[in-house]
Amino acid sequence: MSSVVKKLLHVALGVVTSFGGFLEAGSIATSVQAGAEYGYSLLWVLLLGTICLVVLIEMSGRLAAMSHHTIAGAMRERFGLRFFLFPLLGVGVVSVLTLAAEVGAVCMALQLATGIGFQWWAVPVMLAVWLLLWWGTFGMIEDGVSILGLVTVAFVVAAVKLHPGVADVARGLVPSAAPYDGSRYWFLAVSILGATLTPYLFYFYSSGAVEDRWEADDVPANRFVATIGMGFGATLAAAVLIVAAVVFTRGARVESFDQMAPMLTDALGPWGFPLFVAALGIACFGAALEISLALAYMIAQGFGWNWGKDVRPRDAARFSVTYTLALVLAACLVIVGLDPLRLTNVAMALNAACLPLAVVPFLVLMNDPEYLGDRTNGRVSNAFVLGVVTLACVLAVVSLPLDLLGG
Amino acid sequence: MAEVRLEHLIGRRVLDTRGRAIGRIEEVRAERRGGEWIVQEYVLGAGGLVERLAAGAIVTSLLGRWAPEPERHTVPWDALDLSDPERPRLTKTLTELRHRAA
Amino acid sequence: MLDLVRDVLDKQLLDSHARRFGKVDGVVIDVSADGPPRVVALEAGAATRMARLPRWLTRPFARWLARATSTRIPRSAVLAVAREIRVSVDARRTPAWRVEAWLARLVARIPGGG
Repeated sequence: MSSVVKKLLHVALGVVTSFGGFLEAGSIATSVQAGAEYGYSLLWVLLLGTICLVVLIEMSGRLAAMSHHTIAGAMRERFGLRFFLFPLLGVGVVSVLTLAAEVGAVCMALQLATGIGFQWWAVPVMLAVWLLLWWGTFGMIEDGVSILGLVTVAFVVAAVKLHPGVADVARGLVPSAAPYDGSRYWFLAVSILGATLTPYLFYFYSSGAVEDRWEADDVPANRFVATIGMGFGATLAAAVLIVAAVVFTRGARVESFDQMAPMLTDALGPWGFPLFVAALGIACFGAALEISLALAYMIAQGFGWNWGKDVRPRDAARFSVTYTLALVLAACLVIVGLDPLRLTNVAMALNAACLPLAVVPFLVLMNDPEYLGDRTNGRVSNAFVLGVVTLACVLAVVSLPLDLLGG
Repeated sequence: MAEVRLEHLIGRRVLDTRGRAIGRIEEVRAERRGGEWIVQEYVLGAGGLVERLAAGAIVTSLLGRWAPEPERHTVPWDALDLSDPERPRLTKTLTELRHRAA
Repeated sequence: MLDLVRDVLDKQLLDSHARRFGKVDGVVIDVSADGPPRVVALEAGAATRMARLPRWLTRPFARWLARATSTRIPRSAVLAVAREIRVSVDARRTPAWRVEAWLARLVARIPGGG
C-alpha cells in the first residue's frame, strides 16, 4: 500500500473516530444543557477537554505505532493480571452504561420520528447494531457511518445562521467562574469533560492503529490525524452548544431529548426537526457500533483471545460473543425504561470519575521506553494529562452526589 | 519435583536472615543455556505500590532530578530459600552478598 | 538473560499456526534441592488466572472454577520469546481452546457466523 494512500487512510480513521466518537449522546446532551443554562460560559471546558483528548488520541496512536500493542493488550502485559482488572472493570462498566445511553438516544430519535415509545425501539436498534458488527466488514461500517454522519454538520450551519456574538463566544473560551448556581455549573463542566474524554475512544483508536499495522514513521501523521479528527468533532459539539445558547431561554433546564428536538428550526426552518432527529440517531448509532467493538477489544486483548474488526465471528468466537453480550446488556437498560437523558448524564459523570483509572496506567505505559522506544512522553504532556484527569475526577466525585441528590 | 509458580512469587515479601522484610520479589532472571531456562537471580524492590506498578517513570518525568531513587537488590539464586514459597527467606546477609558481588 | 516477569508472564501466546490463544497466565519453576531452579512449563487458562486473584473475589465462582482448565505448555515447546511467545503447540488440541471451540460451534449456527 503506497504511503500516500496509507496516510489518507489514517486521516480517515481519525475523522471517523471523531464522528462515531466525539459527537454522540453524551456530547450532544451536555452541550445542549450547558448552552441552555449557561450560554457560552462553558465553552472553555469543551476546549480544555478537546486539547486533552487530542493528546490522549495521539498517545494512543504512538503507542500502537511504536510497540504494536493496543492499550489494553499492553496494560495486561505490563501490569499483570490483577492490576489490569482495575482499569478493565472501571472502563468496562462505564462503557456499558455509555453504550446504553447511545442506544437510548437512538431510540429517542426514533420515538421523535415515529411517535412510538423509545422502549419499543431498544431491541430493533440493538439488532441493527449487532447485525452490522456480525455481518459487515469494518470498511463498510466506517464509510457508511461517516457519510451519513455528515448530517451533523447541520448544527454548524445552524450555529452560523444564528449569528452568535463573536465576542461573546470568544469570552466563553476563557475559563470563568460560575455566573450562578455553582454546583450545577461544575456538574455540567465535569459532564462535558466526561463526554469528551470517554475512554473507549482512545482504546478503540489504538486497536485500529494496530490492525492497520502502523509503524514508527506513522507517528507524525498520527499527530496530524489526532488534531484534525478531534478538532472537527469538537467544532460540532461547540456548534451544538452555541445553537442551544441562542435558541433556549437562559437558564432553561432541558429535561429530555424531545425538548431539544426543535432547536434547529429557528435557523433551518421546517428542515430543522428532521435534521436534528437524523443527526441524533446517526451519531449515536455510530457511537454504539464503536463502543461495542471497543468493549470487546479491551476484553479480548486483555485475555489474549483472537480479535479483529474483519474476522468472521466463528474465527473469534469469544470476541464476537462479548460484543453481543454488551449490546444485550445495554438494550436491557433501555427496555427497563431508564430515562435516556438521565442515563446519559450519569454515564458522562461516571466517565469523568473513572478517568484516573483509565488514564493513569496508560500514562505509565507512555513513559516506558520498552514500549515507546525513544518516543516516550515529555514532562509537559504527563503533567497536562494528569492535571486534567485529576480535575475531572475530583469534580465528578464532588458534584455527582450533589446532582443526584438535587434531582 | 518441587514446583513453584512465578505468578505467586512476585510481590511476595522477602525476609532476610534476621527475619526483617527487605523487599518484594519483582523480577526473576533466567539464562537460556542448552535449551533450558536456568534461574540466575531475583530482583527485589522496595515494594511500594507506586514502585510495583512502575509508575515511578511518571514520577521521574515530573520531578526530574528530585525524584526519589528506587531501592533494588539483586539476589543470586542460591541466596533465596524457597522451601516455603509463601515466605521466601534470604540464606545470606546483604553484606555477604555485596562482598560476593564485588 | 530472560526477565521472566517482564518478557514472559502475561505475554500473548501464538500457537504453531500463529493463532492467538491466550496469554501466559503462569510460569512453573522447578526448585528441587540440587542446582539452580529451572523453568519447566508455561500455563494458560482460566484456572491459572483465577488462582492469581484474591480468594475473596473468586469464592463466589468456586463451583465454576472447579471445572475450569488450564493448558500446560512445556518449556521445550517454546519456539521464540519476542513481542509474543511462539510455541509449537496446536491450540486446537489444548484444553484452553475448549471454550473458544464450543462458542465457535454455537456461533457458526447463527447466520453470518461464518
